[in-house]
Amino acid sequence: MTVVTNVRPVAATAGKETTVNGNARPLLRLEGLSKVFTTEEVETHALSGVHLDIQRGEFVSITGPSGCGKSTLLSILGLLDSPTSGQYWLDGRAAHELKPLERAQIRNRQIGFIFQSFNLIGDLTVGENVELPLLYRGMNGDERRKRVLTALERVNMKHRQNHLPSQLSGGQQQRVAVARALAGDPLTLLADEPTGNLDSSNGEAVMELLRELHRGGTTICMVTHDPRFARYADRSIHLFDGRIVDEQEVR
Amino acid sequence: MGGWLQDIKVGWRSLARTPGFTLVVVLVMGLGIGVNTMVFNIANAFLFRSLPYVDNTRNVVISSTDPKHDVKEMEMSYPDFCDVRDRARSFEAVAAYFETQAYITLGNEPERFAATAISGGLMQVFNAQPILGREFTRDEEEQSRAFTLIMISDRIWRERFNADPGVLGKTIKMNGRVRTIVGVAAKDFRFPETADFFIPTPIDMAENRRDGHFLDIVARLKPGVTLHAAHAEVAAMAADLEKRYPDTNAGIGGRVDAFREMMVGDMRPILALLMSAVGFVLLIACANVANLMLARGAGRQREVALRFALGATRGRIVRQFLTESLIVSLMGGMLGLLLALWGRDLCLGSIPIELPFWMQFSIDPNTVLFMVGVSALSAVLAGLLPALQTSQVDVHEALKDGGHHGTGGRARSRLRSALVVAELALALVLLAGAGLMIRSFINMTAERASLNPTDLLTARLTMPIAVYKDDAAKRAFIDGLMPAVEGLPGVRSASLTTDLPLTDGSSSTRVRLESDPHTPDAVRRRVLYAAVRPHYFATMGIPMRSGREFTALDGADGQRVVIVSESAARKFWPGKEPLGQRLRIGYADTLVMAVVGVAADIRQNVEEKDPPAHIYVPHPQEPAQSVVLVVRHGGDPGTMTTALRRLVQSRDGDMPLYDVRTMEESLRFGLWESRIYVALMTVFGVLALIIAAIGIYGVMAYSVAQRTQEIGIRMALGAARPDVLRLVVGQAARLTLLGMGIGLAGAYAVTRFMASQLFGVSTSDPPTFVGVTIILALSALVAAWVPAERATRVDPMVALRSE
Repeated sequence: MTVVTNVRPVAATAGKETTVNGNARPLLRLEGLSKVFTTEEVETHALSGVHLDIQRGEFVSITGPSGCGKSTLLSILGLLDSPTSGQYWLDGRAAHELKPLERAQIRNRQIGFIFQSFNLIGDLTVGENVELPLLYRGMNGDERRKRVLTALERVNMKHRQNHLPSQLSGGQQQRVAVARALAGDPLTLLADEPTGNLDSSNGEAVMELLRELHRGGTTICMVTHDPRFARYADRSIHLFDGRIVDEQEVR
Repeated sequence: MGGWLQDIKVGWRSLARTPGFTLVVVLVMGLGIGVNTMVFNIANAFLFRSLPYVDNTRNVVISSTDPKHDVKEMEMSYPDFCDVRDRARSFEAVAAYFETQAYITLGNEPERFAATAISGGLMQVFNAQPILGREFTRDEEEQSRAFTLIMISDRIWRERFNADPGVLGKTIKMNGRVRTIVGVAAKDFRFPETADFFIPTPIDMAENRRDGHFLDIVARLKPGVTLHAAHAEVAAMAADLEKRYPDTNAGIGGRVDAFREMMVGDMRPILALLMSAVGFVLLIACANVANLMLARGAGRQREVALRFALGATRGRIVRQFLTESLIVSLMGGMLGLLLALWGRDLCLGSIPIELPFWMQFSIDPNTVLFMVGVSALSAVLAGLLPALQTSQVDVHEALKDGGHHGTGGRARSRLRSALVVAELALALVLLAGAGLMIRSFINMTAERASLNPTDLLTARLTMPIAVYKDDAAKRAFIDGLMPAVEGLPGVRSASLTTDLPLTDGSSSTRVRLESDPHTPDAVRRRVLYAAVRPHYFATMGIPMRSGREFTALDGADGQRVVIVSESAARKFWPGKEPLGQRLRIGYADTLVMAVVGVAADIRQNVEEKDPPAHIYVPHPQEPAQSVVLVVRHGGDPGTMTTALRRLVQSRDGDMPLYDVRTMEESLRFGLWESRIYVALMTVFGVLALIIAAIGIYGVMAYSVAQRTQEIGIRMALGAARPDVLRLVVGQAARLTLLGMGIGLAGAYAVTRFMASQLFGVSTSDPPTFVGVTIILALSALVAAWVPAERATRVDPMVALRSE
């Protein structure tokens, strides 16, 4: 196991094309990122001084025990939560300085989410679930329909577009969730335990789907506690007590 | 557009998946919007809807004024009317009218109809061209010609003459005079209210006096002339007439008002009260629905978080929730419209009189627009807070697998409690208002008990002036009739009066006491006036306080005598013996009357606050054309009515006996308006109470569901059933006490504005306030008891295993 220090020189500035160790500007960059949850009596340090770069086209898995801060890290990467301190650069933009409306726009246009429990809206059909982020984007109807069909085709769920989520199996629901994440053509996919609610064969199938997307050039950042699935990634980051304690090239 | 459509589609599906919730919300909204739509529909008829044949910008009413006697508007004399008609430049047409009654035999028996005596040009004022024939001309106002002509309404033409195109030239005998039909009025034109016959204003040009104010004047402004300019011209003309005719026109002014305002203006206070009351019901309904939506929103935290994750802004989420709120509000609105129609029919069915032709309560575009507007407003009122609250979600937490605890649980709970407190407070204000109206109504009807109205029959008859031309003729008819009435089987006593007490009609005159200055411009005292026969007070059950009733000796040739009411005696001769005092009646000052009796006070008009000064004169000395027979009997009212009718018919076959009712019915009839308002306020109060009780039930049921585990732990630790009951009911009691405290303060502040609508009860009447507080507290207790009872049945083991 390689222990990674949490101290590293600043390598990126908002809006400027720079390189780190000769690489192109990272798609996602965290610098000294911390997250503290404060209740009336207790202060919990979910993340402490995290530094992380994720390059465009990379497939990174984040592992670690329960409560180590994996999901918090993914939420901050997905602009669902804000860091208490530190900086987060998303494709060169200072994401930690964004206003709520800008965050919503970036979530909508540049980030695709896949959740452990699929999180499909029960009142919407498969097609409408996939269409939802495009609708929030204000895309016209024809373009939306085209993209929905393309995304569903990619996950082989086009034939179920008029079904309700409750009519699908867990694996099928997760494929729909993947299609929804893909439909907006995001910069990166953030997956939080995407196989957590699936049996092993469906889990494998979803992972194969992600691998296929990665091969197609999609940047993926996945939280998982299952070492079998972590191996699908290029690089695996291990969190413990809110710090990155290990980072390994998988292949 | 696609976004809106999807919001609607998703909202509809989401509501369809929770039919119980949707049904309750639509029902509550329907009640709230329904009562508002119903009351608006009434207000619309008076205030907003265009009145048939009335041009709101040009039709006006011209009145005389008498500021010295505090008379803000009164009828005009014929000569003054002629001056305005001939000289005023502001008007395209000016006409005069007064309401009268027509006794006509079109079938087998004489019938009474509403009629209007109109000057030439009245139809022109309202652009109401006759269907057939013509309206009257100016020279037909002269009495001898006026008595020979008549116009009929199109209703009479269709129903009684089968729309005969040859009806013109036919004759009708009205009030003893044969008249020739010269026209059929415009369709549904029954001016000013329900007239079926129109006759020319009969003016005796020889007796034509400037101080005889009996004509109502209407006019049509010339295009471009403002109300203000017309008013200035009429006021200037009145000042000129005052100079030219100081004997008759001293102090008499003139004014011009919008026709619509004069017709419906006095409805504003009661309409404002009813609109306020239903506004309260709507607020309570919205608070209730907001509470239900908050509870529902708590279960949708994950969905909201997901929408955020997919890029929705908070505004977009709020919009989605508001769309759902709008859907249920519009559904409630449609239900409300049906309820409003039903309520309208119920109200109209309880009105015992024919409504004026211009008063139309059909649902028109104004009412539909109002319903849609109120639905949209309700959607925002009920939906905005829950939408803002529900969209305040910790996305990270809510999206965790199994994570269903959004942020704001405590804030949401506080908000729900605040809404219930608001509901209870609003309900208490409304109940206090309704309670005061009920108390007021009870006071209005209290006096009738003393009259023992059940075995008192009343019936009106009018002696046509054409037949009973002078006082002697009227006296002769009545003197012949009354002994026969007294002789009918079962009659214990009988008498007559010109105005029945405790109804809605009264006559007044002005008197001058001997001690008052005797100058032409001396202020005269206004008193209510009635002409009565011997035994009137005994028959009615009104006690004599001193002196005597009229007797047969108080005839036409007897000494002029008067009976005064206690109030009049106190007011006119404080600390002195009223018997033997003398007073002069009318402007002429010629009649001097001696007081021979003092009768107990009784209000003439049911809605009068205090009994006014009242004088009674013997009918034989001041015989009136129209009188009310009062008959105390021991038999069946139906049999007595038939006997009375036969008796009158036997003496004059053309004289109808009408408004034949027991005194009990007369009292009910006189109070129909108040009865409807009280019934409406009571319904609104009860609705508010029910909705508020549902609100407190909902909050307590939700609270118990949320605290199931806590209750289980408490029970596992030894809490007994009474402890759990105390826990839940105590929570409800705290909310109720807070709501009632705020409500009482609010009621104290708000009910002050009801003073003009109340009779014999103060706006902060303690028994009313205490009563409604108890009713509300008990209702809240019952509403909280059900979930409290359910909480005591929690199985600790099951509760502890549940999350």
